[in-house]
Amino acid sequence: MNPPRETPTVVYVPRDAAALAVGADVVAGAIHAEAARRALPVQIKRTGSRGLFWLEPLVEVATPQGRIAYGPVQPEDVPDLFTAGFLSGASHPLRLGSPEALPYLQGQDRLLHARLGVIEPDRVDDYLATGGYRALEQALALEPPELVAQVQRSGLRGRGGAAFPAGIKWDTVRRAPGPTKYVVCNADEGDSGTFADRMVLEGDPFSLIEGMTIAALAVGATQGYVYLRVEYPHAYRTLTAAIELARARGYLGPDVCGSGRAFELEVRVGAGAYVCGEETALLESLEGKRGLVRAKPPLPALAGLFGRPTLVHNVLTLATVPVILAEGAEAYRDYGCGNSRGTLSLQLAGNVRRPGLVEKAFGMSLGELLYDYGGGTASGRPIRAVQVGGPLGAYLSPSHFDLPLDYETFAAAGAMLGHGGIVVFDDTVDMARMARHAFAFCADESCGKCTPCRIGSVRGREALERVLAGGPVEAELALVRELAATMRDASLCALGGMTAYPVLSALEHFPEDFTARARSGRPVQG
Amino acid sequence: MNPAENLRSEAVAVPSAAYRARLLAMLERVCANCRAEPDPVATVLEHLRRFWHPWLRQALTALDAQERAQASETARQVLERLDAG
Amino acid sequence: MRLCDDDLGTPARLGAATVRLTIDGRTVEAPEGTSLLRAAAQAGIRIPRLCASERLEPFGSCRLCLVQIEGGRGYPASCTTPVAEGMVVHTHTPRVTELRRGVMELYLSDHPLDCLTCSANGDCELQEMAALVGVRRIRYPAGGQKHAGMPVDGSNPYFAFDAEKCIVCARCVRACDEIQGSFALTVAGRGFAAAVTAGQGEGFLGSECVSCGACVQACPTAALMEKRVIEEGLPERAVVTTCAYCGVGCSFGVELKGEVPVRLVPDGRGRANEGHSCVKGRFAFGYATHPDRVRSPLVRGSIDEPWREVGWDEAIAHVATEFRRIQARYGREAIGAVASSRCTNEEVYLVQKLVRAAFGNNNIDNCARVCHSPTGYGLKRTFGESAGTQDFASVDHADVIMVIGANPTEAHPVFGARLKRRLRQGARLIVIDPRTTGLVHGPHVRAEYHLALRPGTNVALLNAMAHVIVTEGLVDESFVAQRCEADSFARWRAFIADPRHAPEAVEAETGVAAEQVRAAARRYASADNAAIYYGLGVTEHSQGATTVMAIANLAMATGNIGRPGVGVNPLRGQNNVQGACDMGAFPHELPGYRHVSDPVARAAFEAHWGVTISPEPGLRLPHMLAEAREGRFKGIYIQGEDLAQSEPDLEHVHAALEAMECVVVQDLFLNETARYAHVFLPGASFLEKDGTFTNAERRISRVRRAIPPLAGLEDWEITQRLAQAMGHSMAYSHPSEIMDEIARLTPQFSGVSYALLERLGSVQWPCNEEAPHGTPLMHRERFVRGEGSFVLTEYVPTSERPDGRRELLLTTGRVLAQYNVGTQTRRTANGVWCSADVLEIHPQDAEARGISEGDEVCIESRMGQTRLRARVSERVRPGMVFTTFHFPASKTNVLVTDGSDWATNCPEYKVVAVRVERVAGASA
Repeated sequence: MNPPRETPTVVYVPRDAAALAVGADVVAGAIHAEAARRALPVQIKRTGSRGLFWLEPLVEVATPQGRIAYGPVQPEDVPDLFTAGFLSGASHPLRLGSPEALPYLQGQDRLLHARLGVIEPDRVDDYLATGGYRALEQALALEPPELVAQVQRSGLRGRGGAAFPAGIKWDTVRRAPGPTKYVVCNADEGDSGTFADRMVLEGDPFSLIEGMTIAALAVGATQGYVYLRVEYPHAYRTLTAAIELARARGYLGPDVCGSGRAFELEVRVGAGAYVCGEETALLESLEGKRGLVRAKPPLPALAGLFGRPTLVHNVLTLATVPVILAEGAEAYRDYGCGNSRGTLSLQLAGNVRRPGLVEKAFGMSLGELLYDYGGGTASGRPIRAVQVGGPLGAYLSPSHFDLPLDYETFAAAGAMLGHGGIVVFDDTVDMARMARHAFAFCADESCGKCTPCRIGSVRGREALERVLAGGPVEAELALVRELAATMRDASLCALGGMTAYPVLSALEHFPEDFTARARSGRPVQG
Repeated sequence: MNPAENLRSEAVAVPSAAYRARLLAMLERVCANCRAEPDPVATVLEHLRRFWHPWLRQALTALDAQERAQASETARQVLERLDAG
Repeated sequence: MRLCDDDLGTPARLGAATVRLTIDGRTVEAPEGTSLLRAAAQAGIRIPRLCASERLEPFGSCRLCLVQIEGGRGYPASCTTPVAEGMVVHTHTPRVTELRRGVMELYLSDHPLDCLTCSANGDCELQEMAALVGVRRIRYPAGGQKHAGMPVDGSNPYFAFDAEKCIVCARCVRACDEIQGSFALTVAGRGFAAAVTAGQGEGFLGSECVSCGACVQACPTAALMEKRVIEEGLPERAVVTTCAYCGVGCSFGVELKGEVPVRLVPDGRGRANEGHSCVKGRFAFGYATHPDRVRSPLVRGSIDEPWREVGWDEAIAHVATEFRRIQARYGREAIGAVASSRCTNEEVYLVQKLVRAAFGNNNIDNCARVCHSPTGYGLKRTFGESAGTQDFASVDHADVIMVIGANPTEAHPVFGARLKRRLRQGARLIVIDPRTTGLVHGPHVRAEYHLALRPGTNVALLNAMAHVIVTEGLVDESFVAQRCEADSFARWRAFIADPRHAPEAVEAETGVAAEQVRAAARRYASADNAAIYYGLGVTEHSQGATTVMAIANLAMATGNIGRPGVGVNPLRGQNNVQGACDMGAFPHELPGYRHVSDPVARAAFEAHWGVTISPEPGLRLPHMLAEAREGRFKGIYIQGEDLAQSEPDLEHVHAALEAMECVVVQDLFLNETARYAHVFLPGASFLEKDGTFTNAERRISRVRRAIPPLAGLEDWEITQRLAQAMGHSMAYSHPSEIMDEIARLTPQFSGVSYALLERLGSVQWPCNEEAPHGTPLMHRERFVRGEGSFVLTEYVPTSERPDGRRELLLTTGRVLAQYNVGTQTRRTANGVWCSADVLEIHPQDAEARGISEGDEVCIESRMGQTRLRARVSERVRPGMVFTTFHFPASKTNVLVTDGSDWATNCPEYKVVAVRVERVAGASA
């Protein structure tokens, strides 16, 4: 084998599932083959995604001027890029310039997601070089109450949807009696149009591992579990590899960083049930049982996994912890507004021109997000509705687009931010069918424990199908309204309880889609 | 009627050899199980008095010399004390 | 008639602090941790609910019990919300009413609204709740998705599962998990498709279901319903009584239509079972009205003649004449009786009174002779009382549970379920048993130590454990010093510390690794609360009594006596075998375990009965039989015991019975013994009489007459007539008068009366001036005998050992679905679970003999031989085989030798050297 003639040029190609879906692997292969053909020394590094999905596969080249991005790159573009001299950052129709300078990224507050698309996710040294494990080092020097206090001061709230103040939960688990406690990460990201958890798992897994380790130190747990949805095979591979690496480097195991404190972490894979994203069903599933929702109390913080005090958080919440420790609680708190502090990971999806990940401090308006970042619809037609916060989030109309994105404002408007997923619809959407879909989704995903959800979802779907089939509207809609309210107020968990949001918001903001149907007699389709 | 009298009047039949052998084996088991006691003979006698019907005790006294020759030391002493009444 | 009305919805919580709150304007107090639902129910406020039951942990699924709490968000379920100080709760607001109606409307939208033709009509919680909630219409039109038309699972012989009537409240599933611990049921699928499923979908009969009935009991609708109710309709009335199967003594409501028992429902207030049941007690009562029941007395001149139906007067007169004739010719001692431990205390008391007062001798015995007589002997000598020390509830406080020679999940299922519940809560388990019983490996239950000893070596093993305790400094010195005899302890300590008792020294004998014995001993001795439960695997040995005393020694040496969670607990076999012993159905003891040589005790009875009582011990049952063959014993009155099937060395038993001149059998059926009888007196089943049973925890419970005796007389009446005919005056008009006499003459029972039992439900003896409400835990401050006595427990190996011809050791036991010699259970549908005795044999031993699963094998002991089908199983250890004795055709007891416990003559059923061979030409 000949020694390398010169230092190879580093080319970054994402390995994030979103990039892979549009051919990132094929592009990487094409670059490799083309470089070989041209006998050019090229080193391909596979990173996470920066979250600008319309530009994927987004290829970056390391140049003396910094990284230069090209995208979206198709395999057939590759010879042309070489010919144009992209290895030195030369101009090309696909050349985007410095990625950080792209307006979509420049306007963001990338605290949590700073490493996405930048580092190789399976390299501890990359993580360390970008400030990784600084937070753990600090945390090891702090007493648990002080660690909890830092999280409390940061104003961090759970990013999974319920937005419960993280510090209070930490303190509850820390104070709970008992020698055995657990930290559980909810990585069962099942909301339609959401992907931020996956991007962290695939692009920056050490941030989650570090966050869980710090959380364990704070609450007194020695064992952690990541409950990962089965639909994320790439995330599974990346995360499990990262856990092995962290263990090998002493960041996990019986003696974390030589501190004498132990923390072990295991990944458990779900079986495709949306309801297992609900924390108590998740705990049941982790215990090896059916994913059945538990009644609360007892709170998982006091009696969670195997009946022990358990800190359950979403991926984003836990991965934010190193940011808070490293940057300082006050620095984190400086972001955001009101009681919504820090940054929010918004995920733009559906009929939108520029889908992707937008990390912004709380407070930006919905319209700003949809138009300035999202660029309106992909179809070019007007936006008619957006669903914020997953399949159980409310449908909002353009009249809501000036709402600032913060927990309280949304709640006051009968909506919720949830996990930050936003799905955009243009004016061809049939909101009666969307309302039916909400019930159908609930019926498909209900664990079957509580009656309102188990039977109510089916009856709601049937009622709206009768409406869609041209049946008598008024009586059916009255029944649907009452049923939705019964489900909201009487269901055991948020799955049944929040099915009312898409249904009632569709009825409230788009009544014409229901009433007009009776006149036109438009039949149901699918 | 005096019960004791009644019992005596019934002791006429001579127990069969097989039955005598069985009772001796039973006695030997009692002796074996009482051998750790400070006074095994007294303990065994007390056990027989409390739990064995007089017919059984009488049957033991009917053991002949040959049968007694096979008995253990403790059992032999017990039999002697039974003979003495 | 179901007990849901007094069901408070969620289990009691024993929080230390009392919380005060306001519910519907009323101030309510409840222990911390109590649910709002229960707190409200206790205050008489009825909140609608369907998924809640006080015997199950709260679940929160039905969403009917929602309430509003001032200052709180939403509408929390009151079953899962604990009370809090100062809480102000409203159970019936307009919104809550709306929600309940909304939820109920959903339930009803998926229910076949065929109430009038439904088997649960009038006994349905769904119906009741619909009424309470006030649903007036169902707006969801027909044509929606429904469970209508789903197939009915009728595989279980006693109950059916009708899925279309299921409301998926999971009460059945939770009852199976939490109460019974079988984990046979689950809700499969999710959402609307969620459906109760047995096993992996095999149906109830094919699943792990043990048919305990907990699911049927828990079901609020007709989804799980007794087939007899489906066929006959709801019962009209209920009589609370006590089960007549095992020594657990479950309380049941017998529910009837006219004189026909429709179903038995476990009584939630019964303190032995707390609403639980097993397949026998709950369902296998059909024998009581079986066509085989004999309804008229029978007499014949000789056992070769056919029976002749006669009237009661003739039958009784015939027996009296015969017995008097025999006594006149052969002497007073020539007759005797066996009292039935299946009969009531009052009936047993009368039989021993008949013997002592009318026969004029002490020739009275009962089936404890062949089961727990060593318990009576051993515990009397060490503790001073011939009974278990605890109540069943005590097990809830045990941290280490040692089960020796007992298989409670099969033989004492309701207690077994309770024990497993404690194990699931984390108690440690030590099993000493040659066989891998269900407790060793079960669903969510596992023995930490299974000491699978060679049958017959109990004493060697227990001595080794005691050796470890003594030599490793694990003795509870302060308990021993305060509570036990100093000299007997000192002697015992020196005895047991001898190296010949070391685990290493007896390893070869017991077959248990010394390190296992040491570890188990340490575990037992170092527990906060360690309890011992034992069964016939302890007593039915040549050293049965010694083993009981070795157990008592262990408990005393480690201070595990006198408080909840500890103790020495014999699991008694028959429903009233404790009572039969208490009542003096022993040749050496008067009622209350007072020796016949005790002049004070004798004088009391003599004065009351107006007779002279013999001071000499009477004949034990095996000696009655032996003396019959010797020609001295000529007549016997056998109340409800099938000697010709249950005794060991059956050929000898048959010969003995044939040698008698008057054999009187009093039983429900013409049993095996009746073949040898001259007179048959038809007895009454437990449904047909008043009286009391005493269970293994010394609990005296009422037996109440639900139907009239099929043959006209209750058993006590038969005995009374016989006494009268023999010239002894008895004139009781009701069993309560017999109990009054028992109370007058027996110190342990002096406080017992039917009035007290009505008031308390049941009471555990001793019940007297010192303990007017009975004694759940014995030996609390001091032992009954004063100081606990340590007995030297020398290991004397049994002479029954394998040899060149008989290489295997046979031991016997029971299975869940059958009971004892099967007289009752064989006359029910329980045969679907077990229709024959089989021989369990280890694969190695089977292979060596060319035996395959299902092969017919010949089993030969030095007493006799029989044939059974083989079941190749690793539940038995190599060198050992196991069978049951439920079916007469098996003739299992033909094999059992004449070996017996040295102290009590309890037969050595558990150790028989046998030769096992495949029957040539026969195959599966």
